[in-house]
Amino acid sequence: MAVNAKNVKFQEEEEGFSDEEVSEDVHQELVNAVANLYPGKKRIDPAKFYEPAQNVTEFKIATDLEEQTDDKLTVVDLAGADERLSRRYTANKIRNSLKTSKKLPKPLERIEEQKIERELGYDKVKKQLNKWSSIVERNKLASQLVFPLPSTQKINEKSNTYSFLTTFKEPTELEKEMAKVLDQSAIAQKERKEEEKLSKLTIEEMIERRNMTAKMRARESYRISKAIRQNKIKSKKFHRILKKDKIKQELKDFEKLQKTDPEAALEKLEQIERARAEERISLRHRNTGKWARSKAIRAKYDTEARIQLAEQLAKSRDLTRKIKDINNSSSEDESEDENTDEENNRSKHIKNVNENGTSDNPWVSEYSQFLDGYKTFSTENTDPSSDKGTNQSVSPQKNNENKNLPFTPSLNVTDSPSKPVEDVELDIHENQSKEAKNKDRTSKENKDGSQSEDEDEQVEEAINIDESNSDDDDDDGSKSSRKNASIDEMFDKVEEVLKDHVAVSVKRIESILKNDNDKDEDKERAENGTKNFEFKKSARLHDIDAALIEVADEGISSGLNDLSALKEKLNLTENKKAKEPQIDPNKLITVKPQKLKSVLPDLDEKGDDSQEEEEEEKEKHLNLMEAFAEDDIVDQFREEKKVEEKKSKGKEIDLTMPGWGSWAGTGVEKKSKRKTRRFIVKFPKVPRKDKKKPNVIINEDPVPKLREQLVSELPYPFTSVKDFEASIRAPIGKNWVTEKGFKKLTAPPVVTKMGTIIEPMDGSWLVNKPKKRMNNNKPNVNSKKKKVN
Amino acid sequence: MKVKVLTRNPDDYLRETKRDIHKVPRNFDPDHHPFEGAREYVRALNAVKLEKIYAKPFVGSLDGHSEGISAIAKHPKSLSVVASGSHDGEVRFWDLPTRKCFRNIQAHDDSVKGIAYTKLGERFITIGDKTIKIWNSKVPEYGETDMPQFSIVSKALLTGLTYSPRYEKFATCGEKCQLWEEERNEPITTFTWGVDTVHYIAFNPIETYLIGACADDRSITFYDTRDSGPIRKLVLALRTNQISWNPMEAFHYTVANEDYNLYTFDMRRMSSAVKVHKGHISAVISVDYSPTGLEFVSGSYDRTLRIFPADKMNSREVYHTKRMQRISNVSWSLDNKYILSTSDEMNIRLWKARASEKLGVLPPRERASLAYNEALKKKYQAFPEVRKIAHFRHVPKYIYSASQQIRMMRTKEKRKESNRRQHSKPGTVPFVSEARKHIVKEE
Repeated sequence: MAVNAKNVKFQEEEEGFSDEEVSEDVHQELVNAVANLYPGKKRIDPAKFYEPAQNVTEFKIATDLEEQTDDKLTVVDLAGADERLSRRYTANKIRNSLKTSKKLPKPLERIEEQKIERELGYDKVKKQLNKWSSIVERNKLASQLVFPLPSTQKINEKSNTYSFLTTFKEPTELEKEMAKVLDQSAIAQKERKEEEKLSKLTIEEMIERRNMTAKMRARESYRISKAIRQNKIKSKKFHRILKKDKIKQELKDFEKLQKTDPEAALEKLEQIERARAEERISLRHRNTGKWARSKAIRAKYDTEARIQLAEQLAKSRDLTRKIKDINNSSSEDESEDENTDEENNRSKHIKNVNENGTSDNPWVSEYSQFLDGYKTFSTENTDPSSDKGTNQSVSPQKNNENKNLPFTPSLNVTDSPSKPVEDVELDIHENQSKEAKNKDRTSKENKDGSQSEDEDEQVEEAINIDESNSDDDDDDGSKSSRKNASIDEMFDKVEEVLKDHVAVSVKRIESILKNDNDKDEDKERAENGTKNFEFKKSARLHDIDAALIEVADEGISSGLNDLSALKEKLNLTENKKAKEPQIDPNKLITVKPQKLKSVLPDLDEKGDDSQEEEEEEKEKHLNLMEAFAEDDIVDQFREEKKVEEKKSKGKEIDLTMPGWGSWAGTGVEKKSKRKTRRFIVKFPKVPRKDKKKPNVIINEDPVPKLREQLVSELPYPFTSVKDFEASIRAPIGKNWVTEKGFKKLTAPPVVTKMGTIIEPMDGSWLVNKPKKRMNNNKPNVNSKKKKVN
Repeated sequence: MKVKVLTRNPDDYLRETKRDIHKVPRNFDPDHHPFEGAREYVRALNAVKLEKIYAKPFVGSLDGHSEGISAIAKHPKSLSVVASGSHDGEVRFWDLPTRKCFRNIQAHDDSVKGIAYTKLGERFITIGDKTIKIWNSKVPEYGETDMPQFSIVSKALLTGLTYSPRYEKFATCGEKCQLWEEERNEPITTFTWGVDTVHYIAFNPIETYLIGACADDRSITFYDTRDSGPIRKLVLALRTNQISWNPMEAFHYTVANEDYNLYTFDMRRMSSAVKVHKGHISAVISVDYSPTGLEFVSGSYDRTLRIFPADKMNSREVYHTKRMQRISNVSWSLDNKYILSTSDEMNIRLWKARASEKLGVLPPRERASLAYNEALKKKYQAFPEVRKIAHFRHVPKYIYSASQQIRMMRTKEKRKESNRRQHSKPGTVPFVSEARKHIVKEE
């Protein structure tokens, strides 16, 4: 107890407490005395804990003795323990170290500590959040966002090499044996040989080969898809046409074969013969079927049904006819079975259409009419030109041999629609061998041609010049094709065509005449005719050739010989045309020439440009003439502009005061010169913006209503007006951009999948840190090292 | 002048069968299209008008609760299921396509403070009257009683609940924030910072260790659940009612504040708001991000919903109906198509997220044309006529007048401040940006 008290005292002294406090002993005594006052109650002493010393050290046991010695052992006292070092030296050293070292700071208060902890924690979180910034930035800039985000993990799973490798298994014995047997088989050896061949090729050749095969494959796939698409088409008409085309093609092939490979042709002939026999055996097209019977019932009253039945029979006749007939189809034959033999020739088909006057497709009929007219026109149009020798681009060889040759291209052109160009192409050598023969023929042709010339010489002028221009173009085009065409054939065809054409036209004329007679009974026929002609022309631009025929037919009773009347008619029309308002060529607007793609093949585009240009210009003028036949737009425009100019001119300000310096009132003369000079303020002359542009009127007054519709401030993302205007100017609609561009320009900025949950972003989107990569690469590095070793 | 018409071959522009592709012969030479700009402008005008015509955002309401609705929860895996809890302790489950309630539980005696589905939606957690209850999502068979699988009596008050499907833990708030696991009776950790009650808590959906909490002392507090506990506190001028994390941008969050505004913050730099969203005319009660993270919806005490683009100051849409009272909760569906709002008058309302959107599967041509319309609207958005139509919204009179009034107040404050600045010593009235003005302190 005493020891404790002493200790306490000592501590107090050290800390600087020097208060006069009641000592422990005294206090105890007092407590005991108080306790004795109440002897009845035994107070339990509080539990006491006795410690031998308050300052417990681990180096020694505290003894009472030491405590009592009052002076404390210091570090310096320990210096003498080691006797090797001088006491003084060590004492100094220790003192120095005590001076330099600092006390550890007091531990921070809880609040401050937490603050620092929070700060650190926040910094850590910030760093971790920073890794998302690149993704966020990218999404912000992306032109299109697709949700839900495609998960990257799935892709990784698939591309895992280990899982891929585990799919392989070692082959069994049986499999190995099988492989051996297969390896020795003939097919395998053949393949090997091919491979060897391939291996000999250079890389370039290989690539070429590969490209070729790829192309072939692609073409095949296109063909297949096309076939599938076509098969799906339900239209019977379409299939019928397809079939006809196929037959036609086969016939053409056969003709070719005849010339090139007679043996194969024979085989083919046999095939055809066989087909014919089959047709003969079968009851097809014999009007025995259900359809035919039903038609037969109706045939009594229905003329159409009758016709259909007849057609069917004709078809069967056609199919069962000997093949020779088809091959040697001359013009006579054709003219004979015009109605029945539709499939053989499209030109004929067209003719039929013309004759019937009706067709499913109005366009086709018009087209055919146009062609007919064109044929006639081109036949004479080219001939004189050859006489003049203007066509310089004709190949010299042929020019020498045959002066009339320029005639041929046009013929060729007439044929072209009826026959694909490929078929017309024949060997030049052949042509040359046949040329001797041709000469005779061409002379004949010439006669025919001249005849047609007589027919249509004036027609030429009456024809719209627009047409003539296009004809000229086509002439150029046909020059090239001429090289390949066999003249012989062409003449044949021309003959046919011309004959057909004439016959057809005559028939038409007849019918029209009849109608006219019925209606108007010789009432100013000529006038009527011209009117008719005019109406047609205005209604249909490309009907001109047909109209021409009509005109030619006026007043003709019948037959081929009554062409003189036609000429008369034409003269009439010419006169009429002269009376029509003409546009002054100087007043025309100059328009940049635009080339139109014509239906007829335009093969020689490189021909003399100057001539073409001239023609084009001519065409332009005439087009305009046509388009604005009634009104003179150029003059109109000028007047309009003048009015506009007047309007825009500022008005003079009249400051004159009547009666000032002169007499005022009624009957007083005009203002004096001096007054007009001094008091009438003239509006300053401001040059108009369109002063130097004769073809434009520029409105200089701002329209307030329009102003309201326009953007007044530059919208946000744009920095210059020019950029903004450009962005507005570029259209995005389907009408102005391609399908692909349209899709790209109208791609929605956010795409979501319907009925799909969009998960929040996950860590798989973060870019892997380089650390991870290092780990992945480590084994590789090791293996490399091993190899080196 | 006579106009001469060209005839075309029908074969060139008619397709042979219905299944064929459309032949569209077009010459894209700009010389042939002198009025392309004008035509597109008219189309844009029409598009924007059509948008207005078709803008019918209200889909339907879910009626059944007999008290105001206090909590709502989306099912994490099913778009058609939604749970809602009301102030009378009832929890109802709704089938959205049929708009019918298929289950209701009397979960608590007091109001349901929060509902949350577990990771795959097989269970759900409700809190209320100091208890946490975990229930099975499966509807009990006939005759079975609806009992919670598990219930924990908490020592502390519970006011909010959030569940993190990736972390698979849930947190509650009240006097203190507690982190729980489904299997345990005791919270894993408890976080406290200050003595005020925390009334809303939300897990970060991407960085799942992060929790944001709104306390009554106007503060937004962030906790790191891993070790450090509380990390940051942001005190705004007025109380924050809710916080919503951007599900695509880990560090962005938006808070709904009492001062009629919403603030979007960047977690890394909170000294100023990224954006201040204005438009409401009363305290904003609730906010929820769209799953795309591009927009959010807010519900306010002013009886309207507003949809804000996350990076824009103004709302792009205001939804209101005559009978809809003060909004208590909003929720954006996980397919980014619908918005749910709960309000004081016991109804849950289902809205379209885009008012004029056509629902259902669209044929490709229609889709293309709608996309074209959208592109046109965007292209011509700066044009006054287009802008006028696109921006026009009809709002109830009280909203209109109140917003006018607020605008007036704000201009007045601005004017006053500028006046003060002009009439005092330079530098004494500093310029404080709107983004910083509402932040009291950050610690």
